[in-house]
Amino acid sequence: MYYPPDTSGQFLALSSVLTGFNTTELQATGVAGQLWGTLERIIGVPIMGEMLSLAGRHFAKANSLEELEAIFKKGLMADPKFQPIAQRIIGMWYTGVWSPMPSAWSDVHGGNTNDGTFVISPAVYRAGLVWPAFGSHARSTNPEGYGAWGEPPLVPVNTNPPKE
Amino acid sequence: MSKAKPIKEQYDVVIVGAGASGAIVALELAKQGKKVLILEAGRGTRDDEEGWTAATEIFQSAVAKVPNAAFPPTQNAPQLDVLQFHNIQKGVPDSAGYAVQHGPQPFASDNNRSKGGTTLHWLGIALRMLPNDFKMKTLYGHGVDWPIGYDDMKPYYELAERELGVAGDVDEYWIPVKDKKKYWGDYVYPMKKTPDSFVAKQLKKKVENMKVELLGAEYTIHVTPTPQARNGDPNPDYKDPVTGKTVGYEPTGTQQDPLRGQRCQGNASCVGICPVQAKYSALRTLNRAQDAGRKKGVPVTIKNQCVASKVVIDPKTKRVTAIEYIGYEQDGFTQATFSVTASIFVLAAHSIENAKLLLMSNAANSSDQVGRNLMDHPTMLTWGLMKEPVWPFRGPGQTNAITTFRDGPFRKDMAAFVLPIDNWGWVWSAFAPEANVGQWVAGGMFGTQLRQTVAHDVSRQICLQWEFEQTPDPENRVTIDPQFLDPLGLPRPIIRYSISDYVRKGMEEAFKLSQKLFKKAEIKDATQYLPSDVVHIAYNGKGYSYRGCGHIVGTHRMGSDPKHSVTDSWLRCWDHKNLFLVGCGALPTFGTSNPSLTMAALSFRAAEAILKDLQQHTSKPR
Amino acid sequence: MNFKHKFRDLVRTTQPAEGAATLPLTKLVRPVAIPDAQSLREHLQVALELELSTLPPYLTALASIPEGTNLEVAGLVRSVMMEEMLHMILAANILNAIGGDPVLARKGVAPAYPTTLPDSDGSFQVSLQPLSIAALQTFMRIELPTPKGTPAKADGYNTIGQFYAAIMEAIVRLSKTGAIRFDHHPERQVSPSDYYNGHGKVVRVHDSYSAIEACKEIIHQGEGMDSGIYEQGHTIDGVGYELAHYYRFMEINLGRRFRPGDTPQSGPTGAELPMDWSSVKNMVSNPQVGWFAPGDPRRTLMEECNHSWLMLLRELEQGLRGDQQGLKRAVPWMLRLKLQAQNLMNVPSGIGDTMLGPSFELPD
Repeated sequence: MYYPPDTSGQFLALSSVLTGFNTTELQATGVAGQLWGTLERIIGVPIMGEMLSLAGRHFAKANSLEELEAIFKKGLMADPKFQPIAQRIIGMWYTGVWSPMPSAWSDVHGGNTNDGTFVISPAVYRAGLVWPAFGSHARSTNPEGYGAWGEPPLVPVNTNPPKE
Repeated sequence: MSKAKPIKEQYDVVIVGAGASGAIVALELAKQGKKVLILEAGRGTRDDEEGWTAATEIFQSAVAKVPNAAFPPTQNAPQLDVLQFHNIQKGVPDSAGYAVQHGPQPFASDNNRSKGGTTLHWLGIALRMLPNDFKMKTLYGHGVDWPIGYDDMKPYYELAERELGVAGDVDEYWIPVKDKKKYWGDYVYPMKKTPDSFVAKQLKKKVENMKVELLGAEYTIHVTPTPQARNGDPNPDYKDPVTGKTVGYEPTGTQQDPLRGQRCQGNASCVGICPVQAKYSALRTLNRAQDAGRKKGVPVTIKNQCVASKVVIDPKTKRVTAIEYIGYEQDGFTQATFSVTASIFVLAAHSIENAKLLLMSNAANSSDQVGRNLMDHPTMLTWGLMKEPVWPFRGPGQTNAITTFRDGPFRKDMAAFVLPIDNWGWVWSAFAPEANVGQWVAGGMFGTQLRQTVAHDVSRQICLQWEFEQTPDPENRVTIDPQFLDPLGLPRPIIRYSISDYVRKGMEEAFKLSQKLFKKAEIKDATQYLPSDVVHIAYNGKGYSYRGCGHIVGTHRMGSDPKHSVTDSWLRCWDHKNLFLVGCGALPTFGTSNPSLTMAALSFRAAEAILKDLQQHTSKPR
Repeated sequence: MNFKHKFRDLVRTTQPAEGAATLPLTKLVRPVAIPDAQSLREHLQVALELELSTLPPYLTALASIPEGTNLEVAGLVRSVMMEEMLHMILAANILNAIGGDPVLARKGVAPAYPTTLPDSDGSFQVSLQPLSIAALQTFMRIELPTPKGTPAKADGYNTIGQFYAAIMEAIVRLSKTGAIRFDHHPERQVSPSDYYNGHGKVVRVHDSYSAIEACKEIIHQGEGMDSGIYEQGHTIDGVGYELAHYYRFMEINLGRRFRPGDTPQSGPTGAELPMDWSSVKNMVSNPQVGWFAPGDPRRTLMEECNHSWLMLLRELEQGLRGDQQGLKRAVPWMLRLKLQAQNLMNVPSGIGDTMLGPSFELPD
């Protein structure tokens, strides 16, 4: 599958696999840059570079999203170095919150004074993907209008059980 | 001891606290051209659009979106906060937060100390008490009777509903009263009811008119729309509560931009912050009070960051002669003590601060009731997943409740309860949806599976809130202790608090009812009570967890007898005739109604008495 | 719905009707007049389209201001937009009262951008673009006050005021002769409680006076009255929403608020109106769905946005045709549309370093 040459494109491609939202949807939030900045600050460019390279190798092997997710599951998402970072990337995209790296990880790869529990920014909170994933909006933002809560969301959301 | 600098300006009335009760008193006085000073302990920085937007962003930036998240305190006016509450080990008081909690249960509700008070983050529910709620002792042998009854309160409820801007539907609202016509008269609310949430509609389809048994009697389940102080469609038939003329109603917009906030938009963050101020806050009434004062040529003065430190009493006349207060710079240490005089003084700093200030001043306590009878609505949650999506986290926190159990013969044996249907999924019970995501991701989920799991599960979340009536217990109390002081050197509240068997019995029965309701509504139960929960209690060998409801009531109750109460029914102190104590602390009991509307109604009543007293005061030669 | 040619055939000179003289604007000499009831209905439909055509550019400008920034400026743009909705409702109330059927949700009724104002003299173009000085100059041109003594003009008008003057003249004249009555579809009249978050009142139209009142509300909010900066009957309240639209846009343009005592000649001399122009989204002008192949996720986002526009128009149309709930149902689409517009402005267009934006295209 196509993997972009540039870092920001690669970060979007990686994020897309991790979140289940396509890269254009991710771009539309306008916060990808802030998320990448947080990773640069806390994880650092060298490790993030390795992670994007590994993701690129996964992309190269896959012919479909289904295959790609399967490769990720066995690869990057099973890698003790990258899995915790991937989980934090998902956390940022879904909820706007960075949660601290596990101490077992920091013991091996080094800690960082910027690490901790925090909301990246109000804009990142507002863009949280967990909300549109079930047809809503981050609390205190993007309201639907008077009385809209009495009906299902305007645009239907598929709420079937997930495939295993 | 006091080196207070006297303020030259002479006021008719000095009010301590710029929350709803103080604001209403100020409004009523300002309309009559009285000279009013309001002393506010905390910040007053949220009353323009920039301030409100900043507060909204503070809320959005908070990891834990607790009720006070948007409105952090200043250093010098600390406040109770739900993040401060812990389980208390026997014999080890928890002094980690602002209050020093002796337990056995922590008092788990917060308030806000800033201009606007706790209405900055309240949910906005505006229930009147039921007639039987005023006669608990006579009817059920619990608590005390009020010195006044529902009929006395009714005209003031109507004033309060206008001021707060309540949306509701008298015809559709089901409550256990014998004579509905007598309860309402020909009343209509200022605004039409807040539209029902989707989840409430779905639950109603499943459980409306279901028969259930409780302590040997049969009851019928009714899901009914909850009156609330939230802007909605105005009711053209609304009648002016004073003149009785049909005048309609116009919703009030935001502080600075009247063209926003005329309807609730469904930001789904009422507890926290209403970004468009479509939910009432006392800032509205403060604005009106200041407008009224300007019109009369006697402006209302509001001084922020002024913490009242003493009620000064003339030992001979027993009248209050001054209020001393400490003024401070923004979050800083520059401070000075002042003393201000007036004809009449009003404490309106909410239950805990009112009690504290009285105890600090050795005031109003000949009954020994100051600080006692602290109450809340302990709230037990039960939660699960509906069979079909109910689309939570959209719209106000609750639009409907099951009101069947607000009154009934069972009140002899167990606490009554009101049962709101939470419109925000498991946010209160399990920090959803953020905590759900955390768990799923920690379990290895990502991508398509994660997105689909969120869609499937969160869209089905439902939570019921079992809010129990707590009756007054003199041992549930606020005291002070010179060992524990805040940064200004003023005493912190010391709290002793426990949950009686009357409430615990209620929880036991309610839990059984919950299981019946869930079964009928095909809800997959996910309720879980852990000993580590704040707060966890036991009854008949079974554990229950509950939350504080933010309903802080009862520390300076009114009554008909100076021996057992702090004020008369006009909220005038028995001990000091020119001192009024307004706010939720005045309520002797409060049934299953969220206390704010009753507090507001009593504030109108107190203002009436203050105006009368002022007239007498000024007509008498001094 | 092509009125242009039709109206050109109808051009003729009419004297103002007797009695019309009590209404200030009917004093004007009228080279072109609206001849009959059917023509008045058609012109009111054009009025609807005219108000409608201003929504997309104003909404686009509003969405280009990042959320939570430039609050004062965003508030001004939002207030104008909300009032354009009111104007549409007012025009519909008149149209319904005289037996017309408002049409909104149809391609051609809502224009394709860039556009000229419906049935105007075509002297300027309106584009979908982010808030900028150029955009503001267009907005001010839309809301341009009509100089005193300018004739009313039903077709090929130069200012919106001219156009409404012609409508008002026709209302008075045709109601006097009995050619129009105002008793059609009273159930379709939108009432004041249905419109909120904008100042100005919905006027329920049931006779010629209320119809004229509705027209005046539109003109006064838009361009001001009698060469003053305020809407008639309003004084400054510190908020500035009583300023006519033209002057609200002038404030943003000049970065300064009006204050009491200011005149059109003095311009605004009050407080500074802060605006961080560098924060405005760099949206490409007049984007088109057709730039992208079907299935391209960028195209999908734009199509979803256009779907909201269509649904908004459908609900509005139903709301103006007697379905009381239609206006309520339109609001969520409006809010969604704004969010989608904001989101699009974060997605690179592929043209230079510009971003996408809403295109407000409707299906055939």
